[in-house]
Amino acid sequence: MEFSFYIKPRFKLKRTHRMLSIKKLRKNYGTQHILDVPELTFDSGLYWVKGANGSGKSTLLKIIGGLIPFEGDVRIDDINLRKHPTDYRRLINYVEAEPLYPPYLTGLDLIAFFGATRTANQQQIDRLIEAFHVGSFIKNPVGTYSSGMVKKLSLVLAFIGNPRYILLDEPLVTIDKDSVPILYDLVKTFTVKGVNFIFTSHQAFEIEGAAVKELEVKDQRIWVL
Amino acid sequence: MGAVIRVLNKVLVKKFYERNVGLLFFVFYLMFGVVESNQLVSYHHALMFAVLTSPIFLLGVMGVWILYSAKYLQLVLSELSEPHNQFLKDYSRLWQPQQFWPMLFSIFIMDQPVLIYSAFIVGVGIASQLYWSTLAVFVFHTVKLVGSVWIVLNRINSLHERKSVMLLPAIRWPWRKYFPFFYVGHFTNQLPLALLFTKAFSLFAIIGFLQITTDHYDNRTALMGLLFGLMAHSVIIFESRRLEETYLTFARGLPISTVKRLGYLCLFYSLLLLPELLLLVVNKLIWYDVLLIGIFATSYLLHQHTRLYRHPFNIDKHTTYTFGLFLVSFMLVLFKLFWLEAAVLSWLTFYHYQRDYYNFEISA
Repeated sequence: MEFSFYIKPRFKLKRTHRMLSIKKLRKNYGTQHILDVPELTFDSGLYWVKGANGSGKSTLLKIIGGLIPFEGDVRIDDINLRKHPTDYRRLINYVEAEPLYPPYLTGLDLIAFFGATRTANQQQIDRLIEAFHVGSFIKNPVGTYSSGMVKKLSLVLAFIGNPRYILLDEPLVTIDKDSVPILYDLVKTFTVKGVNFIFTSHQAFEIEGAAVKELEVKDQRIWVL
Repeated sequence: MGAVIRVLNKVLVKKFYERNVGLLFFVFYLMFGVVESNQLVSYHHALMFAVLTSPIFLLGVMGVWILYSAKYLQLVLSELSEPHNQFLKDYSRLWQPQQFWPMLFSIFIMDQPVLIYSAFIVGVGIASQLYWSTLAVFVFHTVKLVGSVWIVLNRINSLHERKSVMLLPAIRWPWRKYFPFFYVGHFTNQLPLALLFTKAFSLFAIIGFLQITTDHYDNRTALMGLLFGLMAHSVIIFESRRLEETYLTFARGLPISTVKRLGYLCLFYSLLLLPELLLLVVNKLIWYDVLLIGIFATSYLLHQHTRLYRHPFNIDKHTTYTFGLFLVSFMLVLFKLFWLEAAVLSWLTFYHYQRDYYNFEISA
């Protein structure tokens, strides 16, 4: 039985100009200079951001995800992160490499909350729960989960809603080998429907039949490989 | 043992004093700041003498000392459950006597405010030849210290089990949790004692001030009590911000408007203040005053919360600001201008929130 995880967006989007663009981006942590990106465009498809530890990969994803302050301009089409933060965040789903959730909440509490804020429907949520096999534990508090279970929950949350871009920071870390093909299938399904992915990974991201564009963060710049 | 003591002091003792500096400063002020300086010695001598001669008074004071012990024990036990402190499981590799003395030293340091005052009580007891009650104080503290060490060591030696700390039964919410309840759940599940102490202090402060009789209806007595209660909430505010930066970082990336986010916070603090407002209703304050006081109290707490988006986490600065805001508010309440303060604080809250929420970064 084939599932359709993708739910048609409830708002109109210019499908011809679905592009994430960055201009004059600068990011410092105190006196340490982390990123300096004069111009960068993410077109449609899958982007694999590579780089050494501490090079700024996660920082780049957090900036694009609208989580941390920065200098410069980040937008999807004409929706600017600074000027229209809520509209922009409707188009982006982000999941951290090592997500932390309140230990007293259940997975279901978080899924319901994410579903409400991203206007997802129950059908999509149920299918994601089934796909990642998290149904057996999501009614328990997150504090009782193993790190792999937390990661699976975070991946369920990453796919909820109708995003244009999904940002996955080290998605393959801590998940078991059975979950990797499930993640790849979801990425393929969503890509076909026009959702774009930007991910970081120290492991090879091998999705059969999908062209993965590679970037490298090095010396504060982003290089197209 | 020096290295072990240094680590314990950094992980447990320092954290305890950092978190409670405001409360300790406040208690110190109540004990020594409100008495005329030329009467300070005689006042405390009389107080200590009363403690030693009245068994009921002594029991009451011992109850307060136990509450203080529960406060540092709660912090120590919750810190031991934190993932970043799991390295302390290596402490269980020491022999029992080697475990005992460094931990006793750490507990002893955390208990200093009580022990120093108790040392004076013992001194007064010996000078006054009240040997039995003096001995009772001495035995009480010895048993309390050894018992505290035993509780902590018992916990450390079973650290690998990662048991959650349950000094009070956690409140389980059977229905779907909305965002404001994420905050409430943090306190009912993770910091129940902090919540209990804060609410108890706040309610007792209001009840205490309501005992002041006035010739005609005056909402200022309730407001003064409430101000003390609001000051006690500084710990709750700080912990709420800490919660946002540890477990609620995901919420920043969600498509929620600024007004709605602030609305969630407003709802959380309104829920938190319900007991105080109900107490005012029970004490027959007119509904209009209760409504206005509710707005004032919510804006007071919200303002302190949103101010913490502006500055990196620093409990000392937060405590100093809390105390300063209390003093200014006390004057404004005296001059019946709390409505003006509510309006200013509400405006400042919104201004700070929309300007600083997305500009705050923990590493900045």
